[in-house]
Amino acid sequence: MSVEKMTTFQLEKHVDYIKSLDKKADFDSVVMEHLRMSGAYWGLTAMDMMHSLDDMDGDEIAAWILKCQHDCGGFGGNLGHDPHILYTLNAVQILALFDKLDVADADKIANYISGLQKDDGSFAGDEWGEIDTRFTYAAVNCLSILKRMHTINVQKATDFLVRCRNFDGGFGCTPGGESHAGQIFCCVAALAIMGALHHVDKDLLGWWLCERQVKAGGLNGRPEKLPDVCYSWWVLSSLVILDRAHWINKEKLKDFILNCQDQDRGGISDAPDDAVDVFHTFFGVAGLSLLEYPGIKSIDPAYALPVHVVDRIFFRQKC
Amino acid sequence: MHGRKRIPIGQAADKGKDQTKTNNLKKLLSDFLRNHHERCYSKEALKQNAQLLELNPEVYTAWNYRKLAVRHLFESEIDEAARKLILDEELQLVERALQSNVKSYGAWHHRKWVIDFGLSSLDHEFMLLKMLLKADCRNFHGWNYRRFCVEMKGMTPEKELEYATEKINENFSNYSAWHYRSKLLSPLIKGKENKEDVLNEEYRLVNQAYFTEPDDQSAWFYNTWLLGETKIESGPHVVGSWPEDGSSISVDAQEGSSFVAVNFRTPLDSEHRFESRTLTLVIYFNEEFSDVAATIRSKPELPHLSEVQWRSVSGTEAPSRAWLADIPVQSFAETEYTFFVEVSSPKECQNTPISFKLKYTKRGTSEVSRDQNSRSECYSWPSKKSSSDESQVGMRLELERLTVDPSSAEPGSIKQDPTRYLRRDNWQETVLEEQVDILRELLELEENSKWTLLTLARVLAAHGASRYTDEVLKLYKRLPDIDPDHADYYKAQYSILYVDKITRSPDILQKLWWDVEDRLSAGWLRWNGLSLSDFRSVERLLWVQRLDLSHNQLRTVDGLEAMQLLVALDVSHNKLPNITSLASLRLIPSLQYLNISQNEIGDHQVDATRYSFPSVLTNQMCFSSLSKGNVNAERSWELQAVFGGMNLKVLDIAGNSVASDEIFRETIVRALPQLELLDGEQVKR
Ligand SMILES: [Zn+2]
Repeated sequence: MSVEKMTTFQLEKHVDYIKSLDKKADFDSVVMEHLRMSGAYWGLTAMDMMHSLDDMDGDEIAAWILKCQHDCGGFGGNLGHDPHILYTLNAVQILALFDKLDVADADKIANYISGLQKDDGSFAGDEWGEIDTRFTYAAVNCLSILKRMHTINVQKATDFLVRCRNFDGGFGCTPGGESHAGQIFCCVAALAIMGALHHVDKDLLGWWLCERQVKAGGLNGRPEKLPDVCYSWWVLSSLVILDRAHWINKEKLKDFILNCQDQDRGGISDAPDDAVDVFHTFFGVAGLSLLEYPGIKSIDPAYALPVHVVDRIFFRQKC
Repeated sequence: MHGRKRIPIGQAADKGKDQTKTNNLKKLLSDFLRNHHERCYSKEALKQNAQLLELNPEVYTAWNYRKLAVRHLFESEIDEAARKLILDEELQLVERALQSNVKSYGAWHHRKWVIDFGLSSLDHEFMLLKMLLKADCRNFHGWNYRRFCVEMKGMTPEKELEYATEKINENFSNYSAWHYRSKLLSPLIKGKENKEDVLNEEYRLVNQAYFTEPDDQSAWFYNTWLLGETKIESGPHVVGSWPEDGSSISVDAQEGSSFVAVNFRTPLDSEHRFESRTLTLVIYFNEEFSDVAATIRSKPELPHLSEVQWRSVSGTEAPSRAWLADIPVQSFAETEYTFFVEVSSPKECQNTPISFKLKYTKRGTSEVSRDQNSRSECYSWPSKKSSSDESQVGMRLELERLTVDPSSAEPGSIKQDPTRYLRRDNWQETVLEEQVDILRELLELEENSKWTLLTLARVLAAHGASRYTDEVLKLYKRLPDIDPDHADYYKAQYSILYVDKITRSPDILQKLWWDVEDRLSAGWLRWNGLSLSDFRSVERLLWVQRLDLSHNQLRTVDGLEAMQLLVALDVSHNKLPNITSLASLRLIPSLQYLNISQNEIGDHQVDATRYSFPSVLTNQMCFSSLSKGNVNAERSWELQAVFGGMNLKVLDIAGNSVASDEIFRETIVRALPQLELLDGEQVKR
């Protein structure tokens, strides 16, 4: 990390960086081809937070999203790829961003998601049965946006998350799995959306999460690991939902994220001077948004969409 | 992308080589997708697919394709040995894929899917795991997979505990192994005898870890868990109630109306009065319950008492410590009653009945009109005798010198020996004392170790003896200097403990009393300027009607909802960040006066309390029940959700950035139909 670097937020450069991604055909973009839906969600949500969503063609994107939908109702990560709950959530999130939720058949999507719930309340990622608390989050977030929560067993979904809780107050992928900030975000946010936050020991987990901040200011995902910009989102959003974000040093975290920017070409990387990507660009911008950095739109810590989008979904129409 | 260096400007990557690599990957991808859609599972197609997964194991659809292929091949192959060969190929591919990305979820899941057929040797899997966890002892995919294999093989927790011990002895900072221990031990420490042996052994292990790796987090987190399991516990029981056990109240009812005035003595020897339409009993437990039943009996007997239902203060199904019941006053006759309240569910709750005396008088209309006058005084605060900052600081310092006398009774709670429920035994005492000694020894080696200091504070607090309270407070006061990044965490712990201390001591509480001449307004609790950032201990304050918390550092008023007699609350000059942080106040129907001026409401775009109460965002409320009138819903939902249904008459919001917003003020007036004064001005409707 070089000290002479300017540590202001390079909004225009990041916007240009995200815009350039679609035309890229390098090795990395081929590696990411199967998760283009997630890439689009990360990029577009970051664009919205940076007041630049209007630069993107919503109609064209919505048409592409619909082409990724399968007969079962689920969406694939790209054209020709199999349906999966993660990309189904991302597809719905992008439609919500563009205020185009009505182009999709909500009942059909809800039917796909509710079909993935198992007897123990958990969710499989797709028909091949991988179980993970990330999929519970995807299910709950997506169904809440679609106002179809009644299509699943919410009590059982909650019970399963509680079974994944650990001695340190955190949550893992499956019962028995070690606490990890990414999984903690999924479980805490899903519980928040289900109105079941009372299952979280806020003081114990809040303390564990605030100890993710390392001396240099960045956040790690587990004890004794290196800091990484993506945890600015996983850890910080969890702390915000638990109302414990003041337990960390926000100034230091802000500086860490700003230092991970590519000041010349835009984009944000996992750590200072590493190669940038859209994933970390989104999580860096989202982290700064939760730190109330001026000029960045506010993001909702549970739905992972800009607050104005969430408010539009829930408060514009009657349910 | 993780851990890959940024290429400096002007120093382009090797374009030619990159292009070949890219084209190769592209071709593998498109060939595989074509085969997938054509359901072609030829040898050649599978080979190409394997090449793709070796290069990029994250292509989830490519793993799906292989599962379909295995199914397809199994159709023509019923011989078990031949099937095993097919599966072996899959296992080998997973191994190669994991070499290119050991964190590939798709690869790990494919392996589980293959092993699930039950045709492959688990010994081989354990051998692989041994290698993998040797190379990266924190790989959680590896640990998850190990749990999967252990279950499959039906191995005992004892055997696995040996493995966890081995891994910890190799490296004390292996948090994954500590975590694994906690999982294996949790079922074993349920029984008391086992528990002591097991925990003794665990303490031995963490103690070793402190001395070997004093700056590593793993053992300290583990200790916090052990401490929770060791803590001198008390079973579930009632810790507070209103009316209090052994107290007397008098109820005056206005003739021909449901209006009721209640007089009672507070724990601090003063008369209290409040006005209500019903008599609401409060019981407060030391634990949260999602279902509570308690019988209410009276002498002489009253009809309908058996029909009285208990409800949690939150009104939701979420577990709660505070439970309420409304006693119908209209069935009373002019006489004296003795009430007995006895918890019947949860069954494990240890208790004796709470009993209180009630004297009932019916008054004529003329007598009550005098009451009507005093009613307006309910929400006008008496002048503060000493409101200058200097004297507040003075008082604070004085308070800190006071120590808690353990022999003094707890005010505001049931008049019983506070230690009666503690299941204290020698083992726990010994363990905790030993920990204290070890931690003090560590402090001699390094006096400013934050982990040692914090753990010492927790061990002393877990001990539960009030003689340690002041030392714990001192430790929490010192920690922000040593670890400033987490200062607010330590301050919150300090604040919680501090309030715990002052609510236990009548001497100290007396000093926080509102000092006014007017007998009627005696007994107003003044906690201003105490630097409070958080507090609990509400169970000892259930009788409080007027509470001044101004000039503190509170970010929320969560928990106050149990104070069902609260009429006036001053939380001005705090750090309340937004309207939703006030959500718990909507559960106090008696609240009439609220001062939230000089906070930070409107300064923050991030709303951290958005999810802490039932709303349409938490799928617990339908928006149509909130939306009334033509107010812009997107802007006002929180005002309606929090203030809608409250009975406020006086509200002060000045000094918050939202206070100057006309739409905000209009929405508030609309949400609060009984509001008379807003920021000191008469409300015009
Ligand atoms: Zn990362």
